[in-house]
Amino acid sequence: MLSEKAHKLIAKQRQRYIESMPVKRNAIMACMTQINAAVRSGEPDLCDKLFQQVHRLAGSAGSYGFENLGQAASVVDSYLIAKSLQAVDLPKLESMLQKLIDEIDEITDKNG
Amino acid sequence: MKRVSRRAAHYIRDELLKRERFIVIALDSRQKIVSVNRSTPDWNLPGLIRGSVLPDSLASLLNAASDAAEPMVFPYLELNGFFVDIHVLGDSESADLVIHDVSEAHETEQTLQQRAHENSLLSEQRAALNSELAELNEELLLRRRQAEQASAAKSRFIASMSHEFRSPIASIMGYADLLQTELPDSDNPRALQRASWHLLTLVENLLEQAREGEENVSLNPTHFSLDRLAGDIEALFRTQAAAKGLDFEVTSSPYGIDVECDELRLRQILINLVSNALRYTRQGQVSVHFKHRDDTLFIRVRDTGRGIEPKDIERIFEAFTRVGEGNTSGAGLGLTITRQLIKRMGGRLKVESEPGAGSEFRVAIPCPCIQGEHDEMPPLSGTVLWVDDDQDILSLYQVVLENWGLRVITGSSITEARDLFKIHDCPVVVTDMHLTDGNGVELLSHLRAEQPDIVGILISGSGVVDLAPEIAGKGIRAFLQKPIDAELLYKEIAAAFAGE
Repeated sequence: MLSEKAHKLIAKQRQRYIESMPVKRNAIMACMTQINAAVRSGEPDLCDKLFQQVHRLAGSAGSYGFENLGQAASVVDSYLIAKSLQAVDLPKLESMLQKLIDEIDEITDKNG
Repeated sequence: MKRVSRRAAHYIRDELLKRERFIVIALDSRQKIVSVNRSTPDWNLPGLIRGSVLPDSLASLLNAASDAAEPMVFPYLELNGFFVDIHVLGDSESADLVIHDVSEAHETEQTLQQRAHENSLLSEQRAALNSELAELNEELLLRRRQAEQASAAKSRFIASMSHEFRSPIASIMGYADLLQTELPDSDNPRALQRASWHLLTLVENLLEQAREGEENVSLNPTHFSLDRLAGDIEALFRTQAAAKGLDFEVTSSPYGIDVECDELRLRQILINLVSNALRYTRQGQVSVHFKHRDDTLFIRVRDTGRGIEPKDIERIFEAFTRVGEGNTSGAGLGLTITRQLIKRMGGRLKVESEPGAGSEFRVAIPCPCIQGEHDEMPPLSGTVLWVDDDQDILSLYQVVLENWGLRVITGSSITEARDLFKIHDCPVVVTDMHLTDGNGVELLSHLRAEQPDIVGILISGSGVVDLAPEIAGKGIRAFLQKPIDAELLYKEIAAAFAGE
């Protein structure tokens, strides 16, 4: 069990986490745009960047009580972890990311 | 009266003359008035003049009685506005007429007759009203029977529907248990179980209301962990409290005990009390505290909500009743059922409230401890190095670990962690698996090369990867999945510092 002080500190951290959602969203969207270009040009690093973003979300969201967001991020995370850039099914990835973005938007809308 | 003395006879006559009005007329054989004597001087009748002939109205009476051997009485004759009895005494030679004023008696009799008539009418009316009342009573009984039948049908329906709901919920809970076994590190089955408990509570509330008044409703005591119950209550309401910007705290002591109680009913009580506290609190804090002592479970639910007026304290327990301004959601059954359940479990409930400041509900329920009591989660001491490239995770768990009494050094990469490790004495290292410049296993290998007895705890958000072969034989104490189970993390860190 947590002390009152710890609860307050966690509540503050949680608020910061919520406030960071637009930044995280933009980063994911930017990665996705770049991946679209990368798939055409064959540049593999961009896929790793997206993986980093999504992987962090998959790890942190549940700890802050956003289980749906964590779940949506885990789906993308699990998909990307074993895929090379060439093997990425772009429409499928976009569909999974859209669900992730929807979860981010829902948190932002509810708590914004 | 057989023999009356002259004195007594005179007395009676005098008394009679004082109270009654008489006129005594003496007549001769030609019906001429010989004398007129009045008992009351101011009472007179016209035509009664000595020496004159008796008026016709009286003469006819005298004629009618002329042959009578005994005195004759003509009662209740109306004479010049008076009601009189006329007594005729004597014969044709000489006669006396005694006129007795009986107006008052006549009036009394008339009044009595009038009253008798009125009584008769009233009796008839009363009989009619009694008949109407009997019909209304009959109708009332009929309506009451119909209402009782409808109520019984409603209760049967609710009970039946609640039962229908229970089966699929029990099935969901069963599968959630199975999932928990298959995915021990995932929090999702637990979330499913919590939601199922909530749903089951709502259904049980309905069922409880439906069987209100029934006796011999049995309890179903089971063994369960008090910490797990407290943790579930915290997890169940954490999001709801955060959405309202409320501080929400659940504490429990002592730590690590199992108790015996009807868990379902206890959860119903808790869910009803906590959801109520959150519902009526706009700002501030809602706290829940469990304390087990002397085979009794004490629960305190405190809020900084709008409070309850003293006059309304008892009303809050009435079914379908809402007290105070502003409607909120819910059926208005929670507190009614809570009190019923606590009573059924042999417990007691107390409420203290201050309008505008908040309320406190205190529950005490008999609840034996079936496992030895331990100390509360004891504070830890020591330094932990936590490495993660996600600042959100570092910030959160720094607070959690510091709350346990630990000093926390944080780093975001292998390079930074190795530098920090040279400066700080960190016997326990918690690291994320995926780091920007390598992975957690590599980091721990580097650190163990410098200090072989460090204990490593590996964290990862990628649950699908089986890391067991990779970490085997590398001194890694535990591999935990994100989101991290705080209780499990505490146990692993505590054991690491204890050298277990």
